[in-house]
Amino acid sequence: MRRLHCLALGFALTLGGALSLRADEPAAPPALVDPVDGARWRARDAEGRWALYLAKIAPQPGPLTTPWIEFLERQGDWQQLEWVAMATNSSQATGVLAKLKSPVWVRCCVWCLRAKDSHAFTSAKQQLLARPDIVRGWFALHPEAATGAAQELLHELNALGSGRDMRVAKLLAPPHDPQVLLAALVPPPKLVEFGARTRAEPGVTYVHQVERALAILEHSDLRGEPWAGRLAALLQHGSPAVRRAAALTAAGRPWRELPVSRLLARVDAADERPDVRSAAVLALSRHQPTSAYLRVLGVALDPTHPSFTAAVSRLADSDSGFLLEAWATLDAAPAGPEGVAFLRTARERLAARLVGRPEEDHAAWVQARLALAAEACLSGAAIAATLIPWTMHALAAQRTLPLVRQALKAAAESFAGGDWTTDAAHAAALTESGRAFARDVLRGEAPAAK
Amino acid sequence: MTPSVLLGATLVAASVVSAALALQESTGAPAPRAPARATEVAQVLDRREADFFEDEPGGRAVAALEARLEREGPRTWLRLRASPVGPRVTPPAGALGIGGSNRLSAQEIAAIVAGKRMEILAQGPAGRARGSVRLGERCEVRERRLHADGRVTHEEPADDPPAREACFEVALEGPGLHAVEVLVDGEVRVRARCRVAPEGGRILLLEGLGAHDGERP
Repeated sequence: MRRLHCLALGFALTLGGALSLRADEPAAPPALVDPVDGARWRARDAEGRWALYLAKIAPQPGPLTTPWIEFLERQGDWQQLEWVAMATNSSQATGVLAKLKSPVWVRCCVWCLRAKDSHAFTSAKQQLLARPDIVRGWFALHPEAATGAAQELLHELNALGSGRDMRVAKLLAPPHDPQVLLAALVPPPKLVEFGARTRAEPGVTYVHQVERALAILEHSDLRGEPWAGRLAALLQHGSPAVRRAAALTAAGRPWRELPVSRLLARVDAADERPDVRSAAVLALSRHQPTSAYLRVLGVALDPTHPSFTAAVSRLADSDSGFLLEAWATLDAAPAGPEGVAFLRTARERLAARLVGRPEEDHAAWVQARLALAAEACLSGAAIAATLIPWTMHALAAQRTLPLVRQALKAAAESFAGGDWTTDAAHAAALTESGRAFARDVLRGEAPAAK
Repeated sequence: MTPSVLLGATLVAASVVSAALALQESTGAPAPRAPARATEVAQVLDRREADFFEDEPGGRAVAALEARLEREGPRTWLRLRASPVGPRVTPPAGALGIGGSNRLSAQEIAAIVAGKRMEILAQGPAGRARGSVRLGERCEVRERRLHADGRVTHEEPADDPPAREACFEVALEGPGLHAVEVLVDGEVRVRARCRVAPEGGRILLLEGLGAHDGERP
C-alpha cells in the first residue's frame, strides 16, 4: 500500500513538474544563463538529469552548484532540487523547494534536520519554523517522522501554537524511509556508468546512483547498522568509483564505525587505483583509531607512495608538531617541483596552525600524543624510533605548565586505550603503555620501550 | 541537537541586554553614525581573538573572531571581524574541506551581510550606539581535489562572489564600561565587553554565542 502510495505520489510529482514547466517556460530573466539548454534538460529522465548535473558541476562542485540550483528553480525541477539538497546539504536548495511550495519541501527539510553540518540543519529548521501550521499538519499525518531533531522541532512548533493546515499538509509528500532512499547502498555486483545516455534502462543500476546514496549518507547523521556494514562492503565492490566514493564517505563517519582493516587494505594494495588508495588515506587520517593514524603518518613520510600528498594534506590539519620535524628529515624528496612546493606549503600551514597555541590546547593534546606513542611502541613500526622520543621530549618540555601537568597526571592514572581502538585486547595494551609513558614524563625519565 | 552557526537561526528571543538596548533606543538620542572605514591611522589599544563554536557536544570552531579596540583622535572604536578562515576553524564534515577554513561559513557570512541581517550595537555610559557592518577582506577557502593519479591538490576557489569576512565597527562614546553585541536576525551571536578610559582601554570579553547561549544571563 505504501509502495502504491509512493508510486502515485511520484506520478503526481512528475505531472506537477511537467505542468509547472509549461507554465514557466520562457520565464528565465535575461540576466540568467541556463547552464544547459532547457529542452535538452527536459528530454532526459531523472537519472539522465542527475548524470548531466554531475558532469557539469564536476570542474568546480562548490561554485557551480549555485547557478544550477537557480536553473532547477526556473525549471521547477523539484526532484533534482531535493537530491541536491540531500546530497550536498545545500541550504539554497531547501530554500528554493520551500519557496516553490513544492510537494517535497517539508520532507526534504525534515530530512535535512539530520544534517551533520549545522549550517544545513539551521537552514532547514528555519524553513520549517516559518510555516508552522503546515508543518504541524504534516507531522499529524506522519507522526513516525517525529524522531530525533524532528521531534525537538515539533515540540518547538507546538510550543508556539497549535494550528494545523491539514488541507495543504495532505498535498505534501510523506517522509523519506532511509531504507528506500538509500537502497542503492546495496547495489548489484554489476554497475554501469551512465555515460552518454539520456534515460535510464530498466533493471540497470548505475554507478552514480550508488554515489548519490553515499553522498546522502555522508551528509546525514545516520549511524550504526546497517549503514556501517553497507559502507564497509562497498569498499570491496568491483567498481573503483564506488570504492573511492565509499572511502571518502567513510572519512566523515564516527571513528568507531570506521572499517579500518578494509581501508588499510586499500591503502596498501599496490594494484589498487591510486585515487582509491588516497581516498582511503583521507578516511584513515584522524587521530582515532591510532593504528590508522600511524599508517597515514607512514604514508606522509614516504614521498614515493601514490597517496603521499593525500596524507600530507590531511595531517597538516591535525598533527601536533611531530611532522614539522619529521618532514625536514625525509629520506627522499617528493617527486617534481609541484610535490616539493606542496610539502613546503603544508609545513607552513601546519606551523601557522601550531604557533601561539594556548596552554589549554597543549593540555588537550596530551592524550593523543601518548596514544600515538603507545601505538607506535606496540606496533613496532619503524616510525617509533623517531615518534616516541619526539613525544617524550615535547611532553617533557611542557610538563611544568599547570594544565599540561594536570593532564599528564590524569593520563598516568586513567589513560584509556579504549578511547583509541575498538579492539579490547589492543585497548588494554594501549592503556598500559600510555599510562607508563605519562608516568615517565612526570618523573622526567628518558624514553624507553614499554 | 542544538547546532548553531554565526549566521543561523532566527527565532530565538533576543537577550536581556538586547532588550535593554532596544528600550533605550526608543528614548535615547540618535546613535552616532560610524564611518564606513577608518580614515586616519588608529592606535590599537587592545586586541583579542576568539573562536566561534557550534554549541553541539564537542562543537567545532566554524569561524574566527578578532576584536580590536582602537583610538582615532578623540574617539574610541571597537572593530570586529568574523572570518571563515582561521587556524582553528574546522571545515565541513568530510574529507574535502581543509583545516583552517569553512566553506559553508563563508557562504553564510556572504548571504547574511548581503541580506543586511546583521547589526552591531553598543551600550555605554553615554547611551546606545549602533555601528556599521560591511564585507571585509577576501579570504581563501580552499578545498581538496583528489585526482585520478592519487594526488591531492588544494584548489584555488573560483567562487563568485569570493569568500569574504564580515566586519563590524561601533563607536564607544565616553569612558567606562561598554557592552557590545552583534546580532543576526535579531539574535545575539557575538558579545564583547570593553573598558574605555582616557589613557587607554581594554577588551574584557569576546565570545561567540551559540543559538541558545544568547539567553544566558
